Parts: sequence; C-alpha cells; structure tokens
Amino acid sequence: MATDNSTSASGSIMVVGGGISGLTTALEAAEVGYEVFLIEKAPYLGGRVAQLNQYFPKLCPPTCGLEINYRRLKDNRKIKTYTLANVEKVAGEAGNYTVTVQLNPRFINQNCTACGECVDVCPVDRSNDFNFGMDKNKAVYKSSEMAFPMRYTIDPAVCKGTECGKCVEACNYNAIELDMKPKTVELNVGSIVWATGWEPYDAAKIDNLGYGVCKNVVTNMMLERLASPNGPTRGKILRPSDEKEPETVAFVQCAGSRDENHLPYCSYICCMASLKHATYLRERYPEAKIYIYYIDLRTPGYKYEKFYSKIKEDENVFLIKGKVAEVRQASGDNVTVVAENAVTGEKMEQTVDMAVLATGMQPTAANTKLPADLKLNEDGFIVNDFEKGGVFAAGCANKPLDVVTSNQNATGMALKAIQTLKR
Amino acid sequence: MTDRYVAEPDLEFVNEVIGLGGDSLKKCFQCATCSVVCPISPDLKPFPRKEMIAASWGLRERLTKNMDVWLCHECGDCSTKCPRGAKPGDVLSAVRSYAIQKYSPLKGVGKAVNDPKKLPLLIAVPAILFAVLVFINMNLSGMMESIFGAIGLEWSHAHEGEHVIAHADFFSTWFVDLVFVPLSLLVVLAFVLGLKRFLTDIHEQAVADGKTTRQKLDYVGVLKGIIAVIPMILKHDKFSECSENQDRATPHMMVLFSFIALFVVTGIFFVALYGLGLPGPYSQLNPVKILANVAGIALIIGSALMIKNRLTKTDQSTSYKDWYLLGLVLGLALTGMLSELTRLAGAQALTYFMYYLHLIFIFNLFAFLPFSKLAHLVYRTVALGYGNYAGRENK
Amino acid sequence: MDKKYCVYICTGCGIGESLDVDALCEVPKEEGVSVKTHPFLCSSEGIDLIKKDIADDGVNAMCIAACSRRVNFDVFSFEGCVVDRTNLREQVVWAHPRSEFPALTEEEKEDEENFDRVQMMAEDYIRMGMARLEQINPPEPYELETFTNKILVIGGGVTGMGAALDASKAGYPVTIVEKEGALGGFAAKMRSQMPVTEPYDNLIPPVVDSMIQAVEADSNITVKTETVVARIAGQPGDFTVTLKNPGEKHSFDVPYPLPEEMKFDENGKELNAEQQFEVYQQYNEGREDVLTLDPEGEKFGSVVLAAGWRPAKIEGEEYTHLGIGDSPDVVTNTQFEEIAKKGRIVRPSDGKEAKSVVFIQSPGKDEDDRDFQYCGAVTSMATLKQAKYVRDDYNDGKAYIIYQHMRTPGLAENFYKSMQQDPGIFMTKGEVIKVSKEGNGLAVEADNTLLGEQIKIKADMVVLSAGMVPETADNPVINLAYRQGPGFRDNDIFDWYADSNFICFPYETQRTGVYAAGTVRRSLTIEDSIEDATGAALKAIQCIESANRGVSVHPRSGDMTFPDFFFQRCTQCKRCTEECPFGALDDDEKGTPKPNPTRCRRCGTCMGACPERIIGFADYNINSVGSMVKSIVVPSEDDYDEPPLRILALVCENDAYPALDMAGMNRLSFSADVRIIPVRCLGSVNVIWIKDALSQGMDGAILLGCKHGDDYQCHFVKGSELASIRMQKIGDALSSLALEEERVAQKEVAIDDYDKIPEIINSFVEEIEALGPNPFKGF
Repeated sequence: MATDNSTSASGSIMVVGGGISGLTTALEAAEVGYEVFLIEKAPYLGGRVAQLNQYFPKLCPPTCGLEINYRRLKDNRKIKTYTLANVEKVAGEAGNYTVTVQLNPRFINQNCTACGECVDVCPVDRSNDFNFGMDKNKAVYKSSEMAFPMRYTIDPAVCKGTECGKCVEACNYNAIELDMKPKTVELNVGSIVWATGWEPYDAAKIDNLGYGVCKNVVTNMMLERLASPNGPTRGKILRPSDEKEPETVAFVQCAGSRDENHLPYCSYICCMASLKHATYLRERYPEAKIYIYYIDLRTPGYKYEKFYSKIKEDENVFLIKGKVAEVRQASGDNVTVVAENAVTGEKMEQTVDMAVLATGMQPTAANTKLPADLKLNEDGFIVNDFEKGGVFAAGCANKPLDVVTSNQNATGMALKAIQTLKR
Repeated sequence: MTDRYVAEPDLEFVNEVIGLGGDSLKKCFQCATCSVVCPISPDLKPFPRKEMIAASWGLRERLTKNMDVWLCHECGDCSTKCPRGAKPGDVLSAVRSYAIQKYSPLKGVGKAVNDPKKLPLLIAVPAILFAVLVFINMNLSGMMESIFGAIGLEWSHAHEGEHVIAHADFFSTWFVDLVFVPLSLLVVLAFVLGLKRFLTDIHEQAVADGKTTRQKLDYVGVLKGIIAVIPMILKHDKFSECSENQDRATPHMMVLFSFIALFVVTGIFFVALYGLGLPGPYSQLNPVKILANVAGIALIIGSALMIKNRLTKTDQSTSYKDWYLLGLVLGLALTGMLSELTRLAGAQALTYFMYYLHLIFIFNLFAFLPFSKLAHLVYRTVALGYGNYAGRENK
Repeated sequence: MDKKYCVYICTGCGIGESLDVDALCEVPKEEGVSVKTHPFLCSSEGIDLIKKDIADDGVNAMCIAACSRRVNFDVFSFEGCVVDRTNLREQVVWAHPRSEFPALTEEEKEDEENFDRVQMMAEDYIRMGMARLEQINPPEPYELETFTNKILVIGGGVTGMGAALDASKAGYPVTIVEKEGALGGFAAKMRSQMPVTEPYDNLIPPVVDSMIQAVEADSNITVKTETVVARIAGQPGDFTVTLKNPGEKHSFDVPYPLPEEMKFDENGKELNAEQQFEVYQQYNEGREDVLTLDPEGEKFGSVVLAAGWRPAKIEGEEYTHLGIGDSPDVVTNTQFEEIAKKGRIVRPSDGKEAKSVVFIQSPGKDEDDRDFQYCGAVTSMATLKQAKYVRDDYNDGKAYIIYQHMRTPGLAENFYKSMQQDPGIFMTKGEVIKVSKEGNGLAVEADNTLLGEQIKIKADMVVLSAGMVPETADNPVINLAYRQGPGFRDNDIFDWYADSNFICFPYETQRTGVYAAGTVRRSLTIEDSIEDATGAALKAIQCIESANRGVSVHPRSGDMTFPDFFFQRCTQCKRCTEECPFGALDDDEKGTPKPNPTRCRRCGTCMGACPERIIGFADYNINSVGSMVKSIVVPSEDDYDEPPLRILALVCENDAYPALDMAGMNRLSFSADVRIIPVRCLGSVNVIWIKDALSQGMDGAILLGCKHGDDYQCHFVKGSELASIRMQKIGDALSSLALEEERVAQKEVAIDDYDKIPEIINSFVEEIEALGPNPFKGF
C-alpha cells in the first residue's frame, strides 16, 4: 500500500480534565494517532455537561454526545484514562515533561460489575454533590446511569471503612477494597492541555439575592438537575421548600457575572441557559409564568437569535430589562424580586413561587492553584501562549464559552499540542 | 415629531461633573441596580439610574433641573452595590454642587468656592476687612465714640463691674453686627433669587417627566410642603433608612442642631444687647450661655466625626468642596470655643487672636453660604418641600 | 474464516438466580455448539477460561451471554476473534425482574400450557447471538491505492491563513487558494482590530499583516491568488482538484445534478438510467462528468473551507425607515470601515468631518429587538470599535450607539467596559424609528430608550450594523464532483452558513474530508475565526490520517469495516447513491454505484436502501441481522393455546440502545415478548428484515431511533429520517401480505428517554394485541 508515513504519530499528550473539552481534545488528538493520557480528578468523566439536562439551542441531551465520546474512548487504545487523579507536579519543558500524577483510591477495583448490591447494604448517607446537595445518596455510589467508567466508587469522607464493611460482604465479586491506598505515577508527555473547566460561582457570596436565605432561591445549575430525568426530582421541576409545582418563576440574570464585586466578565452561557430553562418549565407546566430580568440578552448569532425569538412568542414569558438587586422572602415560602424596568422607569416587585439565579462560571484555576507554569489572567482564566507552546488551556479553563465553542476550541488545542510534539 | 427630546451631550458639563467628584459617571451600564438598592428612591421614575445615564450623556438641563438629585442623601448604598464600580452617590453630589453654582446669582463666587486655588482669596477678604476694623477699634476708639455720639449712640458696650476681658474691647459688637447683619440680608436675597429659578426649573422638569400631577406652581403650596417636611429633616429619617453609612446620621444631626442652637443664642444676645442694653460677656451660669457652650462642643464633635467618616470611607470619594465645608465648620467651632476658654483663662492676646480667626471662619461660612455645599441646607429643604407638594414620595 | 464457536454464559449479576441456566445451555447444545458457564465471566478467571479455549480448542467465535456490550468493552475483546455480546443482564434479567415476571413453579413446568417469558427471551437472545456469529467476519481496513497528505485551504483570509499555518506547523503541506489578488481577506481592509487581552483600553493593529508575512515565509505553504476551485473529485486522502481563475470557463467545472423535472419525458414517464445520463450531459454541456478525473488535477488529502463572508445588504421594505439609500451619509459598518481605513472619518456626501456619528445596532420597528440579519456578537464589538474611531479622529467627536442588547459575551465584556469610559461615546438601549435628513445633517429618532420614551439625536453620519453573509449563501465554493451535487447539503437550515448541526461535534458536516471554519460557519471575530481554523485544520489532518489507516472518521472513528458491494446483482436503481447522507457514492452512466470508501461514515444507510440487498459490512450485513431475526422462535397455537406475541425491535445503537440499558439498570420493565436487535443507525434498516419477521409469524416490528427534522439528533444526519420514509412505504407491502400497517412503527427515542421507553414499547405491544396475532403464525 502506498502510504506516506512521514507523519506517523509519535509522542504523548496529557489532557487534564475529563469534561466535554478535555474529552474532545483527548479524542481528537488520539484519533490522529497520538498517545493521550486523560486525567480526571473526579471518579467519573463528563464534567459539567454530565449534569445538564439539555443543550441549547437544540434541546438535545448531553448524554447523547457523551455516549458517542465514551464509545470513541472505548474503541481507542491510544487513550489511557485516569479518574480520581490529580496532577501533583510538572517538571521539564515543552516537548519533554515529566508529570507526577496522584491516583486516589476508588476502593472499588475493576471486578466491579456495577450490579449495585453494595448500595443496598450501605448504611451511610451522603449529600449528593452531583445534584448540588438537593438529595442524598450512599457512601458507595455512582454519579448517574450514564457514569463512565461504569463502576461504583466510595466516598472516603463519609465511608465508615473496614469497621463497617457491609458492602464487602454484599459484593459477590471481591470488587471492594476498603484499604486501597493512593498511588503515584510518573508520566512522560510532550505537551499538556489543561481543560480544567469551571465551577458555578458561589451564589451565597451575592448577599442581596437571597440564596441560602430564601429556600426557594436556586441556581441555574440546580435547575438543570431538577429538570434531569436522573435528577433529585426525576425530571419534575419542584420547588425545594415544599415540592410544589412552580406556577411563577423569576430568572435573575447576571447573578454575579458582569459585576466587579463578583465576576467582572460575562459568563457567556447564562442568557441562553435561562431561555432554555423557560422551555423546561413551559413544557412541564403549560400555565407557568416566567419572568426573566436582564441587563442585555446575549443570544448572538443566527441559531441563538432564532431560539430567542421563539421564546418571545410565548405570552407567558416576560422579559424585563433591569437587573434584580433585591430578593427577599415573601409569605408562604414565596420569593419577592425587585428590579427597575429601565425602559419604563418603574421599580417593580414581583412575588413568585421560585427564583432562579443565573449564576456564572468561575474558572477552576481561580480557586485551585494548578501545579504548572501557567499564565493566568486576573480572573483565573489560563492565557494561552502559543509562541512558548508546551502547555495550553482548552475550553472554559481558557475563557467563558458555550459547549459548541468549547468543543471548537478544544479541537484546536489538540492540534496545538501536536505541534509541540512536532518541533 | 416635535415633542421628541433632543439629546445633545455637553462634553464640558461631563468634565465639570467629573471635576466635582463625579469621576465614575462613565462606568454606568444601566443595569438599574442603584435604583433598586436606594432606600429612599420612589417607585415611579426612581433615581439614580436615569440620572446616571443623563450624566454620562452630559445632559446638563436634565440634571440641574431635576429635583431627584436633591432627594438623594448620598448614603452610598448604590455605590457599594454598583456592579460596574460607578458611584451614583458621588455623581449626584457633584451634580448638586454644580446646581448650587448654577442657581447662585454670583457665578464668580460660586466657582471660587469650589476651587482650591481660590481659597487664599476667600480667606484674605475677611482677614483684611477685620484687620482694618480691629485697627480702628484699638487705636481710633475716640473717633468712633465721637461719631457715635453725634448720632446719639453709645459706642462702647462697656460692661459694669471690675475689669474683665471682653472681645468687644478688641472688636466692637457694633462692627460685628454692621458686618454680619447686612451680609445676612445679602445672603437671604441671593437665596431668594436662586430659589425662584430653582423652583420654576424643577417644577417644569417634574411636569415634563410626569413626576407630578400639579400643572401650575403654587408657592404657598410649596411653603406648606416645606413646613411639612421640616420634622422629617430634623429627625433625619432619610439618613437612618440607609444601610451603608448609618453612622452619618448622628454627626450630621449634631452639626445641624448646633447651628440652630447657636443661631438662637446669637439672636437672644442680640436682643439682650440692643433691647435690654445688657452687654456680654455673660455669666457661664446663664442658661443661654450654657446652651451656647453645649452647642459649641456638639459642633466640634459632630464635624470631627464627619471628617473621620470621610477619611475612613472608601466607597465614597471626597472632593475639595466637601473638605472646604467640613474645614470651615470644624474651624469655626474650635476657634469659637478656644476664644472663650482663652478669655476665661485671662490670656488676652491669645483670646483676641482666636476671636479674630473665629470671625474669619464665620464670614466664610455666612458670605459663601449660597455658593458652597452648605447651600444644600436650603436647596434640599426646598426640594423636599416641593417633593411633598408635588406628591413625589417614596414607598 | 473457519469458525470454532463457543457460547459463554455468565451467571453473575442476578442472571443465574433469575434464569434456568441449564435450560439455557440446552440451546447451543442442540445446535451442537459447546457452551460454558461462569459465575463471574468478566473476572480474570473468566477471561482465562475463554483464553484457554482460544489457545487449546482454537475457539474464535464466541457468544458472550452476559452484560451489555456497553460495559466491560475492553475485557471481552480477543485478537482475531469475532465476538457477540448477548445482553442477558440489562435487557433480560434487570429489565424483567422475577417480581413482575415470575418463574414457573415445578408443577407449571410439567403443564405444557405454561411458559416463562423471560426464559424464552434469554434463549432467543442466545440463538440470535449464535446466528449472528455465523454471518460476521473480522474486518480488514480499506486501503487507498494512492494517498496524499496535502491539505487544500479555500480562502486566504485570517481563517484560511490560520488553518494553513497550523497545519504546516504540524508538518502537513498546504495550498491556499484565494480568489482575490492578495491574501488578507476582510481583515486586511480594517483600520484596527479590537483588543483581545488585558488591558482592553485601546484598539490594536490588525494581526493580518503578520500572518501574511508568516504564510509567505513558510516553505510548506503554497499560495495561489486569483484562484478558485473548479472541482474537487475523488475522496479524502485522494482528492483530485482542478483549480482555475475566477470567471474562467473550464472543462472541469463541476457538473450539476439533473433537476427532478428533467428526469421525466414529455409524457411524464421517468427516463431510464442511460437516458437520464444523456439529458444530464446536455444539461452540463462542456463539463466533464464527475467520474472523469482531471489528468492535470492536483492531489489533496482533505480540504478546509474558509471562504469567509461578504457584507449583508440592508435594503427593502423593512429597512426604509433607516434612510439607507436616501442619504449617502447613512452607511453600513463595512462601508464605514472602508472610510476609516482611508484616513480621518469624513462624510461621503460632502467630505465634511464626521464628528457626530450614530451607530444603529438593531433595525428596530415593530418593537422587535432582534439584530440585523446575519449578525452576531461580532457586530456589537465592531460597533464599539468603530465608535472609538470617531473619538480617535476628533477630540470633540461624539459617537452614539443605539442598541437593543449590547452583545459582548465572555471576556469581550472588558472591551465594552473600557469603551464605555470614553467621555465621547454615548450609548442607550433603544428602538430606532426613523432616520431622516435634517439641515445638512441627519436626525435619528428612537423610542423606548433609557433616556426617555422618545428621543432624537442629530448626526453627521449614521452607521448600520449589517451582518456577515457567508460565501456559501449562493455558491457551493467547494464544487465537489459528487453525484449528489457540488455543495454541502441542507444548509438552508443553517441560514446557508456551512455550519454543523452538532453541538458536541462542531466540525462534522455531510461531506467527509471537507471542514468549514471561520465566518463561513457563523459570524465570528478575527480572534474566534483564527481559533476555529485551528480546529478545522486538526480535523483535516485527522481525516487524512484515518484515510491512510483505512479507518472511518467520526462518529464510527476507527471502524475498519466499509460497505462491500456485490455488483453482479445491482439493478442500477441508484437508491444507495441518492440516500447516502454523505454523498459517498457516485453512480456511472449506467447507474452502477462507485463507492468512495474514505467518504463513507459506515452508517449502512446504503445497505438499508438497497432493494437487492447487495451491500454489507464484514461484521454487519443483511444476513447478520436477517439470521438473528430468523432465529427468533415464534410460538404458535401448535405450541400453546395462547401463544405469546413476538415483536421485533430494531434499535439505534447510539441512543435508543443505551436508553434501554439504562431502563434495565433502573429496573424499569417492559414487555418480555419483544426481541431487541441493535442497528448502527435506523438508516441501515433494510425492509427485508421486517418482511421476514412478519412472514415468519412475528406480530409486529418497532423501530426505535433518533429525532429527525431540522434539529435532527441522528449522528448520521439522515438515517432516522430515511427509515421513517421507508416505514411509510412498507405499508403497501404489508397490505399485499394482508397485514395491517399498524404492525410496523417507528418511534423517536432520545438517549435520556429511558424512563419513557417501557411505556413506548408496551403501548406498541398493546396496539398489536388489539390487532390480534399475525395470521401467518405457524405456517
């Protein structure tokens, strides 16, 4: 066969973060033919998008794309995935890094068949962080039916350990090792892509918006979980205080974003997310009234503009130009939001069953120091230096983005990583 | 369309407001947080969001004719919560200073009061005037007696009994009153002229903005309004509604009440002197005297606290106009008390000098009242009164 | 290959408790196939057991009757063996708990009339697994005779140059073709560019100049200006490209497919293949057929489409109120950029300094707050940038921006913030009502502004934020010599952008090996376009490498199988050519399809379309599924007084099948009379399978697949849509068999519909029950 091997792939790439961006970078690089190490600190891949119910503007389930990506991962022997893994140290220079990775114990070995016997006997409840603490699961758990790898994990923070050991007895496959110890591995790679993603901004820091004070003030990410079929309410959106079906819901845009007291930048996704949430609610509750308070509605481009104009046609959705600056408890667990309609110049109070704060995204690097020579901007986003090469940031580690743009960005970063190996 | 409002930005105005402490006005991006967090803003056409865009667009008329600018007590809630780092509180305060200048009859003086470079001049004028009068008082008292004698008046307000130090011996009460009585008349006149235009303007604007239902401006009504709001002003209700700088209420109250007290005291002594022919200095046990002393001390503490607040506040910027006024008040109070203490201590030269300084401070305060920030005493009262009349009340 | 079969039954995870394993073992035994059980097959002992059989007995075809193939994917894979994963755990045992589907008691077993639905199901699945193994073989990759790793980049703007530079840095030779006389595109026509890093306070010179230098300095990049693509023929890894000068008439200009109406004669009778080809040749007079390769053509491995944009025209009824056309001083943002590039900003009408400029972001009118057509965040940012021009040129200049929504997403917010600080830039939300001449200037009237209900602004000039129309709006640009036509298909749903429908896979289009980037995809800033180009370059490289290894690209990345045609039986019906979502097939003058394997995504739509059933893959073909269907035991009244129904479910393996697994995991049960067969895509479903099922007495068939329509979720674009069309057509066939159409149905299932799936299946089963059993039972 007349093949040109001048570009045969050699060298390895490390991708830190197994969210949609990290998966994309890892898969795209591996499918060119390079060896890739995918490092994820959580027990499962998928990152933020795994918590979403639907993507805007298509309103399709993120698990659909994740399933394909997981399959690509399964079929591709070039990718080695480490979950529960933390990058400890990065030594060396572009083209030749030695990375020390700590592998935290899962307490469940590859024998696990995900049969679930252990869960039935586990006596310990834990607050389910995957659902932002809106429900409980057991000390031995998996994040969701779609979890990848399809294997249980044990939360050492709450597990009673060997003194309990009920799960060990229950497991027919010797899959549980409560005395599992952390390991460290050293990996040699030519380039590293940081796809460390984002965290929802802590709404409790926004003292005038009632989060943590009023029971029925939730964040946009919590609403995603409430709307998800595998969420705490099995996809019914019910308000936390009394599981009532909300008839009126207010959306507070720029909750923390575009705000020098919190996140000075725009978080890119919140406007589209809230419009999407309006569709969740309107689909479930045909009578529900939705109030969206905004500074600017950022639905740029033909796809988003179309989505927005569809929402506009719904006479049960009210869009008000004016930022909510006060949220307070009203009678009967209700919530009152206050804003000035800047166009009519009227200060209006709206009492609703439930208020959703469109909280923004904060780069993971803003709160966790990454063990590498990276240039961060003042908000904690990693600034790419393509001249220098070697290390790169992909997706929301680099800047606030929606999923489609994260994937474009992450695909490109795969090539940047490859270029480093080539020089 | 003829009734369309033609928006014509005035870059000069923008820069002047910036100069007066409104330097953050361009930061606003109209999210309207300020209007919501403002504890005293009305529900219909709340401020200061619309004032902020008017300021960043340099719409002079819109702002100077706007009563809402005066409803603001600069509590600073808006400034702390502003997501863009704009400080509506300061911008409005700057606009107020600009308005005071605009409505005061003598533009020159107005400018001078807000201009640090002119400070020496403002001090020199009274300093020289009083120096001359002191000279006359000390060296030409004979001549003065004859002049006064000629018109059948007693020059010296000499006091019976053993010899005590009396400021009158250093600076005749006649001179004091001959300077300050006409001065106050001028001040009143200045205010009357200013207020007339002020009222017409804010009414016109209020009608245009649909803030009031009253079409025709009726002065009696406004007067009633003013009387109605006075208790509220004295109680400092507006101040205490604000969450950010609660601590500003007390000092402001101290200063305001001291001034009122001292005004009363001066009145009584004026009557005592010319009506009953009882010259000072009066006994420290004299109830009026006690009131005077208490007020004096309150004034010192109050103004000192205000200065301290401004020095510690970061969310509120303090410009020259504020320092000028605070300096005056504190100086006035201190020199007043000191001149009394030194007098009682028997330090003649010192007490005379203190008294001299005291007079200079008083002059500054009085003469420039309609032009300095202190004029808010009058403008805000009238604006609040008008608001009451116009039915512009907040929640 | 000679196969040595063995069935391995795992009794773990509740399989053993729920099923009669001995009975299960009888199934292979009857066929003379050896069978082994293990309590924990995926354990190392279990695997060793299998490995031992491979080594000792030469077993090479194993039916793993255990859990879903979605788990332990890496455990059960053995070099050189064919493996079938029979899903007893998720879809039999877990989805049919004994609490709801009780096993037979000993007495019941004695009695002939009773049967155990779950056991029957398991036994069928093992039969199906064995049947499939007989029909599949290990794949061998398709190998191109000739191969090149050169990349063609169409468009010499920042996007094209970015893609070229990035591909070249990775060691791939690149040729850029640019229709203009010089590189640079629109970016070269700009005065300045908006800043992209802190501090955001000043505009920066466009990066385009340095890019041009870099491209010219790169020996790995060839630049051809005043050049366009006449045609791209062939397939990824081996494209033959004809280049030409713009406007030049060339014998290798791409031919266009015959319009529907021309495929019929005057009596409305459809012409046969040869006749159609004649008409087609007349229709494309002077143009070589798609199958004729240009001997002078240049070889390329893959293509990046970076043809960019052109300014949208603002004209017609809905824009008359904006005064465009009435006054030369009302211009679009592009015209304004040209003026600014020339020097200080002056009015077109009289060359007078334009010190007061109003920028209009949204057309206003009818209280609609949308932006102009083909706009995006980029137009907001361009407006801010151009407002700054006015201020840079004149100290006393005034720039007004009337917006509906200031769109500076993400970090671009910093740029907005710093532009705000300029004392001479004035902004308000507002709805522009009228732009009119006033004095020797203009007046702009706006309603519902932040300054009040009705305002008016005097201006020297008015600038409208027009959008960016993609080059592909009325020109295929890529000119593919494909039988299906020269351009991307169905781009109307993207407003004629060459965009992708997939959020997760933004570079995937209906044409393998051609990747769009930059403003031809969406309105983008210079920075974003360059970033997008890097991704497209990666995909272009990836496609070349995959073609070189003979494996598929996304979504079946790495798949070594490819469609194999048994041409002797081809009837030239052209269905495969017409239905392939990726235009992988070009039929010749007789109508015989010519496969282009590296264009193919292995969805099997051609296999589903072929009425002669001559298309198949090594491990997935008409017989592999057909034999599974045939191996399903259909009990009749001869067996039981009330025989259970048998319903075939053909299930999309990408979404519906995982959803079924999740239903099982959640112990959500559904009818045990359904037999599930995963398919690559509903597009690959051949009606013969359904006909066979029904003619062997099965009572109904249901297809579970992805959503179709404008925002389709089908990973192969058209699969589920085509299937639904075929299912409508199957109606006639059924009635010819005297069967009700309702016995065949297709349902849309998303991957997260696992909670709805049981309901969907059960209600279909109820419908069938209502119709009664298939009359053919037992024949």
